[in-house]
Amino acid sequence: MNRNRRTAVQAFFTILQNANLRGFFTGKIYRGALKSVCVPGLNCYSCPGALGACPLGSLQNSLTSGAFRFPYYVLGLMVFFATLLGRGVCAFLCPMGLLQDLLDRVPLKKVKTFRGDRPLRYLKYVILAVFVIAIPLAVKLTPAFCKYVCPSGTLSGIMLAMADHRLFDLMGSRFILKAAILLLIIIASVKICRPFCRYICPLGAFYSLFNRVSLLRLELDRESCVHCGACSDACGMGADPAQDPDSPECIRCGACIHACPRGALLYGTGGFGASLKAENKK
Amino acid sequence: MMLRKRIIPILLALSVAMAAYGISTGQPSAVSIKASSVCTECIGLE
Repeated sequence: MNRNRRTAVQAFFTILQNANLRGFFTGKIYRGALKSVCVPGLNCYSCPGALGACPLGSLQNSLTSGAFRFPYYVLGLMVFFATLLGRGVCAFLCPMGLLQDLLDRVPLKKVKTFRGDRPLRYLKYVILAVFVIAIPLAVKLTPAFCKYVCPSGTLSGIMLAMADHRLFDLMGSRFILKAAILLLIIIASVKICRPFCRYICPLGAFYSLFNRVSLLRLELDRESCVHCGACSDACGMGADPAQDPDSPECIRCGACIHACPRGALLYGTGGFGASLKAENKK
Repeated sequence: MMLRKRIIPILLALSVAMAAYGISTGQPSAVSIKASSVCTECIGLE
């Protein structure tokens, strides 16, 4: 799938998940029945447009509430999305992914990798374990990722405060910390492809655990592959599809499929039905 | 490939069963209650 078409899909799902457009002007969030449904991507439920609930926020809140109940509902939905799409959610359904992809289009020389890039990728798993699971379980009423890190929540706060200026008076040091993280992500996104997805996002970390078994996958025809390196050059996430098409870093964006001169890479369904036809430029 | 073919239906069935059990025990309403009010932690308010 070419980049513009994928951007159109991302924009469609971002608008679909944030279709309460009136909220952006009134500063009032949607409170209807759909708020009980978790969306697949990172989309703060305090966003003025949000129709559904953020899976990470919902997971932390169920873990951190006084009377612990195993979050069957939220985890069930997350495992369902992960089994179907793996990190394909990041490439097609996540509004934070769209924001970073748009910033990646700023025509500046990009940094493909740097010293510390590889070890830094494990940070997202640490954030998942510590901020999303351990702290909410250990400290009552502390959804730590939402509280101290989540840039989606910070963006939502800014949008709410733009509609209701009184909120700016209530923003203190925690907001400054979160705004600094958001700013860092925005600046980094201009030079590095999807820095938030690569290093920080615990939802991406969760989905990446399913990349090797998900229904949507990349299929490599090893006989057609001539190891020209075009796929790894095209991969913004720094994966090498010719070596490992199921890499946990792969977000299934299809850039490698588009770049392969031999048509050796295809979207597939892991042995269920036929491979999906590639839209290779030939 | 064979392992994958076996795991996918198991994971899908497990996830649907988990979500269905969560729904039957009223967990979506807890999600809805939290998500229907502005989350002060999320937006960075003190």
